[in-house]
Amino acid sequence: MAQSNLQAAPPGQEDRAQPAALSAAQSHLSVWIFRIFAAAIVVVAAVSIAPTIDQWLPQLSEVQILGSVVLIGVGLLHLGLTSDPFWVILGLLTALSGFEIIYAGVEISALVQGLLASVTLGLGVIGAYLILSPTMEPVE
Amino acid sequence: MSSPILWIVLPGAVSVLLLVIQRQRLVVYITGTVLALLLAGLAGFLPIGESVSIGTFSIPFADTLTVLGRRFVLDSNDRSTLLLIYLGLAFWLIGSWVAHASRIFVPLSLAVAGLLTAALAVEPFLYAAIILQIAVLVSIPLLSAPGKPTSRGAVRYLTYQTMGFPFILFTGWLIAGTDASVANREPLTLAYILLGLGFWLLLSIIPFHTWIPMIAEESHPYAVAFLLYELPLAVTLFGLGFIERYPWLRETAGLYTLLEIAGVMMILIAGILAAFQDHFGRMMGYVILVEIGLSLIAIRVGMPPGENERLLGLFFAILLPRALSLGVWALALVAFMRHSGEGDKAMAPSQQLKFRELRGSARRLPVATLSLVFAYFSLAGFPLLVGFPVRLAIWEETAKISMVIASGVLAGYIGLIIGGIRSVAVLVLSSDESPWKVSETRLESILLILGSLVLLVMGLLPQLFTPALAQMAEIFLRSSP
Repeated sequence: MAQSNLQAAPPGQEDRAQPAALSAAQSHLSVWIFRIFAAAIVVVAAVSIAPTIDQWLPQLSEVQILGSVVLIGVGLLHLGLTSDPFWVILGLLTALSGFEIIYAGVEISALVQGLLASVTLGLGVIGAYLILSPTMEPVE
Repeated sequence: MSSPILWIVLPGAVSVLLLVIQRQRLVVYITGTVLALLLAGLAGFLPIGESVSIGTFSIPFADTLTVLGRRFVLDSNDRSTLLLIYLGLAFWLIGSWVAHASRIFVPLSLAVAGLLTAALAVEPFLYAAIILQIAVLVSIPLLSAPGKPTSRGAVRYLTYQTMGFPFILFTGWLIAGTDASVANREPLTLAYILLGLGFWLLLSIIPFHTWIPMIAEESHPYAVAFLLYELPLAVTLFGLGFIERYPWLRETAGLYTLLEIAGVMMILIAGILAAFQDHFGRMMGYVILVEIGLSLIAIRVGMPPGENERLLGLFFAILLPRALSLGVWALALVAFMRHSGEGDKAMAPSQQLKFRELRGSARRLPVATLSLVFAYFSLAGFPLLVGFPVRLAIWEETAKISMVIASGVLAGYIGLIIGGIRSVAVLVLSSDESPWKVSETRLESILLILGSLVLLVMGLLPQLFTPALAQMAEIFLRSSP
């Protein structure tokens, strides 16, 4: 949503206007098929790994572990397929949210949960900054 | 009043204030520099954990701050760490005016220093990983400045650092119940693997190193040098704390092998790649990778901490030469950037430091050229410069451990020296027989000459600073519970 409301990339930065290129690529059928299959492989791997992790973490239910492993896997897959700041931040937030599901079940410290929340918020802020910074006033 | 409020909260609060008034560049610069010097001075003289008497008033000065059930502790044993952080910060801030760093450099570097202090003060110290991650987030605008294209290196830096800290956090939970008992090895093995992966990412060990040359090429050299000095320092101190704290970790022979392999790999690969670079910024990035590898080798030489405490001092002894050399190098690169491309104002910053743009620049910028040569060869361990004595000691100790590792380290430094010779040739050789002139500003020339002299004098007289820095190993180990 943030990116859809942004101005066009400044002149001379067309090579960095990846969102436009990305949306064009996304419309291509083969890209969609590849991504769906890759995500399916990640989900299958997550389903196979989840019981092993369940043995290490008896405090968490199998559904929680499965969900978090899927999020981590899909997030990492997403990071491997893009270098655009917006999509990288989404990938990081996805993977981090998967980790936070597991960690919330084993760590009870309020400070840690607060710090993790601040990291999540900070990632969002930095993501918005990275998208907007080319159009901001220089600070040299 | 408590020491965490003084050394953690105060820099953070002042950094926010300075961000608000960032357009008042001189005020921001003076305030930030004075605060850093003040905090460094107080770290040396203030009685931490006791009452401070001012006339008839007595102000209790505690060493602990409790936040949401967890403690931040900065006691008298942490003086050396505080001095290291805030003197280092003052050093970088003093040069930032001449380096024409962006107006957010002072506020953000203050914030980063405060967060690094918090990371080293938090208990349980495993939570330092999250605070280091917050420092990474705060540092992004330093690398990808407003008004410039988004730095791909900064995005990659953010990615790798964000991927690294969850491993550390999870390891902390995993080993929390196994401190006293090493009977159950399985969780320890998993903890060992996760810890290794986490530090592999945080320290940008190959193959997670690619962001360093990228940001060195795309971002302001001074901001890059500051960040790539402070962040690896904080992470390696964090890692040393792990090794000191957990007996099962330092009794693992695999740890020493891992340190050797990671260290020699970094030095060998980065050193050889440095010889083939054609961009002075990227070259600085590869040299920093070599420095990270050297830190790992220095830590390995000092293992185990109880028996080789004296040798662990080598890790601390390389910090001051590194800071001085990187600072001088960054200032020289800024001088090159400011005085190059004057006929072509549209040149992108990443192009200004390419070899082809700076060919023969020694005739226009002799002071910057000489300073860059001194700084580069100091980091390459060239004799008579400040980096040589400590590196020689590390090489000697490494050879006692393994000739193969020592040979790899030496090969990496040969690559560095070849890169240095290429750099000198590019800067000096030119078909243009223009007359020699000093194009640097007076302030640039003064700082660069002063820095070069310090690199030379401290190389000739290492006994002035090396013993004091080496003693920090003893203090650091004593301050770890």
